[in-house]
Amino acid sequence: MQNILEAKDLKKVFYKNRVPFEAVDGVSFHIGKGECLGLAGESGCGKSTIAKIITRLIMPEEGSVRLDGKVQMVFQTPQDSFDPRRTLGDGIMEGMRNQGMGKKQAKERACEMLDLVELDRKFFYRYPHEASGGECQRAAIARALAVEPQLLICDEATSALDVTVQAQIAALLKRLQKEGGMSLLLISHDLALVQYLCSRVLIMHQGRIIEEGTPDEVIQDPREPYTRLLVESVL
Amino acid sequence: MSQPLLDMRHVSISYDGETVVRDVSLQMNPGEILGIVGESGSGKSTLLRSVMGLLGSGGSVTGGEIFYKGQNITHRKGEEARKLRGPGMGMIFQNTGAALCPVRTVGDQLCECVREHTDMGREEIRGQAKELLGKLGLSDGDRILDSYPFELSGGMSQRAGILMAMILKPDLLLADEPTSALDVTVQKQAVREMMRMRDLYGTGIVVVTHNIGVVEYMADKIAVMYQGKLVEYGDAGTVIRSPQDPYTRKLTDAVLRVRRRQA
Repeated sequence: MQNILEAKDLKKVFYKNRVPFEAVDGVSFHIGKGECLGLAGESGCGKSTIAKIITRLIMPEEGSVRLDGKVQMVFQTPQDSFDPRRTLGDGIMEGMRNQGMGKKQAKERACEMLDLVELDRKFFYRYPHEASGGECQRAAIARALAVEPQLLICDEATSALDVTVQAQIAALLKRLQKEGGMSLLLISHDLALVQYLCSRVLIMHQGRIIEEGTPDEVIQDPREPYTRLLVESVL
Repeated sequence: MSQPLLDMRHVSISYDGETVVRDVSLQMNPGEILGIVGESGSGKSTLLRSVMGLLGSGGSVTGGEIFYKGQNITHRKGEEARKLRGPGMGMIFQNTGAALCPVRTVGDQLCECVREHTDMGREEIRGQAKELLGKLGLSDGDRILDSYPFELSGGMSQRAGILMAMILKPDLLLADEPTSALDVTVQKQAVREMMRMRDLYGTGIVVVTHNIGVVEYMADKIAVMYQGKLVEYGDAGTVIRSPQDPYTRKLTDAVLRVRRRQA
């Protein structure tokens, strides 16, 4: 399997009151073509920092990222990731328009994307506040997929949603990943979701990857004490 | 049968003329843990706030009655409502850090809250607080009490919230999404601490949450709310294992579970 992404020795230091804090401390991993990789751990372990390094929203102090293709991201709070003064349709079209696509064509494709994420085409004309959290998150997935990324990063994409809506979005991601052959990096603290969607998982703790394997291996037979604690804490 | 601790009879609640809770009847006995689950906007937090008398200016109980230990508390106001809180009812919010005053230490606010209801001295209160924190497995009581809310992590401030609610040993503890902002490892600690309170002091607990796992672990009884109505109410195990209402079925089906060995 070819790799869509290779990250080597990533290091990111943040400063709080001039005290250095190593958010990401020598992290290396890869994502294969068509693979769904889970990145799990608790708040502050560095998961989201890694997503920001991959998308170049922040620069690492050390290390390199090799990415073969385009990357798109789906964020935790769907409403906040859209401009409140623009319609969802505008938001979905923006990326395509920035890549030089004509208005008519972009609109057509945006509507196709809405079909793909099982959202009625009338949402093209809705504003973020006129849609529910789940509907907004579907639109955010449509926006991400519109530019045909080779890698999709979902950063806690279902965490802010109601349980029943979470299940719908998880099922949607599973279907899209299966049908589209897209690579997915799923960042989540929810081990059950990781087990449902991913073929491989990295467990992060204090800026480092401490364990790796298939979700079944890691959950049913954790090697590290911290992983065991994490698994046992799930109610 | 003994007198129920909390008895809600056909309660309806409106916010600015809009009915958000319709005809809900619930009963709980002393020392019982009741879990209320449902989606955002289903009315579960509103129901909890009506018991505490914290509906705010726009909200009011428009129908039915709420009894606490046989006493009708549906429309209590001001001083009367305040006296019920503390040793009677305590409440834990989702984000204790935000509910506390940012420029005073946790210990200071704890003393204020306790002295409102008792005539204990400062040292006595601190002593009891540290003892209680010890029972919760936190040995550095002084550090927590001398901290400002922003100096505590989310998990620590939530435990400070549990401490503040529990130090007066209330008969009824109302917890609104008490663990939703916490990491799983800390969530489990907090859940255990609340259950330990029940074991130590016989506190009845109402816990509102969207986390089915938490409710399944803690609760004796479960109430399922959907669009302001109580759609299912009964023994926790029965509701989870053989849900009768279509929405409850949808909810329990939607829960992703970690597949463990021999699970």
